[in-house]
Amino acid sequence: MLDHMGFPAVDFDKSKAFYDKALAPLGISVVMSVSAEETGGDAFAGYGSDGKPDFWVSTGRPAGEIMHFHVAFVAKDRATVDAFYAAAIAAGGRDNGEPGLRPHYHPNYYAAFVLDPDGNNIEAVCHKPE
Amino acid sequence: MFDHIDCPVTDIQRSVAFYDELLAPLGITRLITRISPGAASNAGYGRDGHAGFWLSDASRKGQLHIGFSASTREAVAAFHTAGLAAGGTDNGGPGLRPYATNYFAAYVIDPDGHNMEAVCRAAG
Repeated sequence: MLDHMGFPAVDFDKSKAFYDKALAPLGISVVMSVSAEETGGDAFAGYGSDGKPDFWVSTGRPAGEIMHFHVAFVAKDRATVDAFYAAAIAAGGRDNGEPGLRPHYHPNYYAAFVLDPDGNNIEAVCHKPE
Repeated sequence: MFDHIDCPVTDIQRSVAFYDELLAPLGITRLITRISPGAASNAGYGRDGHAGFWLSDASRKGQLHIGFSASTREAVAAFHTAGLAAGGTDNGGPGLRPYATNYFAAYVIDPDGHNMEAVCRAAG
């Protein structure tokens, strides 16, 4: 049901050191790292098993600020991503990225993004080619 | 990899109305609703009978809760030990919990205050 989720940490290095150790017994480790130089902004560590990063920790959370999280749900096809986006906007969600390909993630990454009533970033993503 | 995720929200009635609409196109519906004024409230969404996505009222504002799947009870205990050794704070040692039969879990608070869990649902 869930595809991946992520959130910013106040101290990225400290949090990464924590998750490296805490998740190792579950067979989960960093399978993708993206540097601040690569993104032009925040750095990310993507944890997963079997090569797919499911759990992302990043830089960029100011100390004391209420956090906004990101969670992504799996959609079975692109039409479902479109329907998710339409339903979300109709339900009062705010646009955070219309349905479409995000080829910078991978060639068949078709997703849409909305902000929920608390400002959390909710995504639906289909990974299949069409 | 995940067993469940719990997201704190500031107005659970408002959020339930939103997520009911938002997740319906994905075939994800509200399976469990525990909303009562003045008491801790939450709602669980899922497919195939397993509630993997939870909303809870904001008594723990800004704190995420994530449950990772573990294949054995030994892995749950190792997760707890590793988390404490890595500087995490104990939030519940390895053991059976009353949430479901064979629900064996442990809890560690991460450096930002998020509540991380490992859970094994297999019979011990």
